[in-house]
Amino acid sequence: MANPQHEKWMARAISMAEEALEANEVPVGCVFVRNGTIIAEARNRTNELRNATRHAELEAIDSILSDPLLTPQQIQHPLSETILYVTVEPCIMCASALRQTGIKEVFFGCENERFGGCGSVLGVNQELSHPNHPSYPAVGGYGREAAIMLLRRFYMTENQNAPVPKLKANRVLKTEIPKQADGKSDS
Amino acid sequence: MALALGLGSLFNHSDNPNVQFSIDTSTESIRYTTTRRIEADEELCIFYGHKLWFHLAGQPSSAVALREKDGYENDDSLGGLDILQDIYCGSNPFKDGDPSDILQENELPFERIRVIPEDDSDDIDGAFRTILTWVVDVPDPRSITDLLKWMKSAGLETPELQHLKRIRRVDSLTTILLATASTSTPHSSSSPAPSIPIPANFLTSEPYTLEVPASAALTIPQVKAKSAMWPTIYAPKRKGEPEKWTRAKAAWAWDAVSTMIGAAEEAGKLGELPIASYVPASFVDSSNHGEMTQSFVAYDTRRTSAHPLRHSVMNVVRKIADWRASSSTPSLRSPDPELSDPTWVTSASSQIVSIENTLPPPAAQRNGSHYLLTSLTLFTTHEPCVMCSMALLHSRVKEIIVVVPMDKTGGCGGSSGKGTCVPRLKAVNHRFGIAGWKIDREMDGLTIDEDVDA
Repeated sequence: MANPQHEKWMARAISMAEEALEANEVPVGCVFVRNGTIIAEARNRTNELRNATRHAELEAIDSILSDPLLTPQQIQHPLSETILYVTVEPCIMCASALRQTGIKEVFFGCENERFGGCGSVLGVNQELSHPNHPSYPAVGGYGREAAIMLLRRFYMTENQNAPVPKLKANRVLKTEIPKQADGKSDS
Repeated sequence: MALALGLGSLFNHSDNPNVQFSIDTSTESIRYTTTRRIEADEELCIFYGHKLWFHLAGQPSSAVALREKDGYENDDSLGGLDILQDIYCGSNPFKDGDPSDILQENELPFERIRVIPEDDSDDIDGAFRTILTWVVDVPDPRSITDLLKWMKSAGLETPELQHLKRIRRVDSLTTILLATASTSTPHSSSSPAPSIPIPANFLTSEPYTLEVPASAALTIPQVKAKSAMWPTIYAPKRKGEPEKWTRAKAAWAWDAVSTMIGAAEEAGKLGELPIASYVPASFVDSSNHGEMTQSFVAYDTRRTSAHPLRHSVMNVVRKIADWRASSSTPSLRSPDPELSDPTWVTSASSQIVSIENTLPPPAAQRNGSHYLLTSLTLFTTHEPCVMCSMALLHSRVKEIIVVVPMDKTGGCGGSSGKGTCVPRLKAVNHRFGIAGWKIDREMDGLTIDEDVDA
């Protein structure tokens, strides 16, 4: 996390995730950057839209593609000069969507062991071969702890909806975060 | 071309026919001639042609569904009849016969692909896989009932742990299984699981993690081995035993495929890729109560919307979500400008091909509908790409029925069933069934490049 640019963009993605948390959504946020400028930022809206596919990345891609200034003409890979910063590793669906739109590069916070499409569960970004869409690099570990803490806060909140929401004083939010085992995300 | 009516439509098919036929154009008739001596009570059979949509069972009666068909076309040079076109365009073959008959696997109009994780066979003998879970010790037995009730209301009774008993007693110590420690979040990206916060009025230990068997015991020795780790359910039959289909349900599927192919061909005529997906109203009979009273169909709109991700699956999922959102909170939801992606709105109006029933679902069904495709079957003309396959998994679809496999781009196993298969991945928290439609027919209207993500 040496590059201050990465920190800056990821901080913005994290603030989008915080917005999601406030709206009772799974806290994942992202920003898309082109030529050093944020061209789209979004967060999860799965609950609001009753649609489990409305992840932050797809929300942002929709706004980019519907803006004629950002997408003046229909080309096969409209995101080939665009970089994504997202708090959690894109899921398999989003990883495929990013490949189909030709994303240049992805930086993410924490890995996604259940659905991760950039290596954790399936390597949609690179390992998987595709006849048309170029592969893209995806590197984790940027703002990883903040991303994990947001997710933990979300689950704590959700569980407080249980009938007896009072928590034992010693059952506080865990703050230790184990290091990623293979070190691949700490670049 | 000749259309055989009357007598001509009564012959069943045999691979070894005792009747041949020829066209006499001068009299506009078909001449049927026996090819060998016919015994008393022997059925007369003709040869329909090579492109049969059903798997032969060796008996002419396997083709019984064809008996009442309207007619058929002559497939000239081969001397066979291209029955397929006719069957397809004509009546639904499953409408004949007893609708409550359970069909044999080979009588179904589709072939099911097994969606079992690659390494599930590991634990047939000896070693078995384990998963990490949260457990808690309960020293006071009086707390157990309340704790179990709390777990239920807190949503901890997930199917992932169904193969395990929830309570373990060793000597006087009771331990309760709470949840998996590698979390699954219902509908989005996930993370390492937090510890489970237990309400303070339960006298328990701190939750701690414990390795437990990852699947049910298939054999008696496995019961012993696995239960030594944690009490495990004995389930000698493997999970995923195929669901029985009645003739009436096959007829429902047949109609669904017809509707869907019609929508895809329509899309093709409008300049879109001829790809469509269809979620019909649930099949209803005495043992099935329809969860969904409405049908949704959508086709691919990537061309007219200038959006490469407007695939038919994404479009149909979105339509269902929008419908659910609007029918559950009708008064609160006015169109939110932020929700309206202009390209989507433009294309949405043209996607509605048929809405069969406009009644909103009963209130009880609205509430539990946050997984939007739970218990529903999705029909699609082309195998969904990786994105769409995962979208269907996120949406908890029950099963999908695919007409054209996409070996280079699909995410549901391809024609061999061995390609990339998203619902077969070990880590994912939902599996949906996959079946390939068996019709062997000309589908020129559905042709797309093999490199396309459907």
